[in-house]
Amino acid sequence: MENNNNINRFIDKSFEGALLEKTGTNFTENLMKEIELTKVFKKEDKRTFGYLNILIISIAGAVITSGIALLVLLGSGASENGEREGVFSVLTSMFDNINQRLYSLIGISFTENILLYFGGIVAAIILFTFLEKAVLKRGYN
Amino acid sequence: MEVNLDIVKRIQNGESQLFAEIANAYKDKAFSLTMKILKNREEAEDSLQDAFMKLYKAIINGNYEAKSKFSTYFYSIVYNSAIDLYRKYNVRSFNITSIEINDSNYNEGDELSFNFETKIDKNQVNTAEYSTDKRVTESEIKNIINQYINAIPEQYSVILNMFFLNDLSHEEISVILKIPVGTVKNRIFRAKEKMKELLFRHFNKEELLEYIKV
Repeated sequence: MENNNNINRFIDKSFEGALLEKTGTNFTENLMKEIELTKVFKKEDKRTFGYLNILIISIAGAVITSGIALLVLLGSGASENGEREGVFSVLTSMFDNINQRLYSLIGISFTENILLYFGGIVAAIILFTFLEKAVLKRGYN
Repeated sequence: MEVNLDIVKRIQNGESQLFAEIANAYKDKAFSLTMKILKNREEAEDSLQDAFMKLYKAIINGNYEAKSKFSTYFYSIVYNSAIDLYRKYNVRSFNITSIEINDSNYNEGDELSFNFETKIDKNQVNTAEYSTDKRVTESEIKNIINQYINAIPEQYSVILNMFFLNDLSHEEISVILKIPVGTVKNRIFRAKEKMKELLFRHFNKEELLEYIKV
C-alpha cells in the first residue's frame, strides 16, 4: 500500500516535469509589443472616427442648410408686378432657368414638392446613419 | 500568481506590466498545453499569443470580471484557440473524445503503450536500455517517462497536461473539454497505471521502489 502511494506520488511529480515545455525567451516581450500596438491602433481608430464624425456632421449641416436655403428661395414671394424681389432674386431666376433646361432635356423639373421629398429622404438617411452609429457602437476588437 | 479583481481593475486602468507578469507566470504551462494539441512550436506560440490577446481584450472590455476561477477561464481560451488553429491546418477536426482503434485484439489502454513500443520496434529507442535488469538512475527514469509522454495520444496528453501541469480539477477539465468527468478520471488513472507497468518492466521492481522511497 505504501509502495503504491510512493510510486503514485513519484509518477505525479514526474509527469509534471515531463509535460512542461517552454516558450521562446522573447515570448512575453513580443506579446507586450503586440498589446502596445493594439493600444496605438485603438487610439488611431478613435481619432479617425472623431474626424469622420466631424465630417459627417459638417456634410449633414451643409445639406440641411442648403435645403432650408432652397426652400426659402423657392418660398420667397414675387412682387405685385410678378418680378421676384430680394437678395435671392438672381439665384432664383438662375434656378428657374436651370429647371426649364432640365425639363426640355429630360422631361422633368424640380418642383417644390420634389425638392421637399428629396430633402426628406436625405434627412432620413442622415438620421439613420447617426442612429446606427449611436446604437451599434464599434467595439474594441 | 492569482488573478483577482484588484489586478483586473489595475490592468483596466493601464498597468500593462501586471499583464506581463500574468503572461510570465502562465506562459510555459499554457504553451505545454498548446504543444500537446498542435505539436509544432511556431504554431503553438502563435496560438498562445492569440489566447493572451483574447484574455487582454476580455479584461480591458470588462468581459472577465474575476468572478469565475481565473485558471479555468484562461485555459479554456488557450484550449479553444489551439483547437481553432488546429482546424485551420487540418482537414479533420480535433477529436478529444474517442480514440480510433482498428485492432480487434484491443484492450483498454493499449494505445498508451502502443506508440511507445512501436518506437522500440523501430529501434528509435535504444534497445539496450529496454531491460528489466537495468539499474535505476534518475536520467533513465526521466528518459522513459519523457518518451512515454511524447508517445501517448493527445486524448490522454491534453488531459494529463491540464491535470498535472495546469492544476485543473477533474470537473474543470470536463467543462473545458466537454467530456464526462468519468472519462477524465479514467484516462488519468489508465495513463498512470500504464506508466507504472512500463517502469516495472524496465527496472527491477524492488530497486525502483527503493529508489522512489529515497
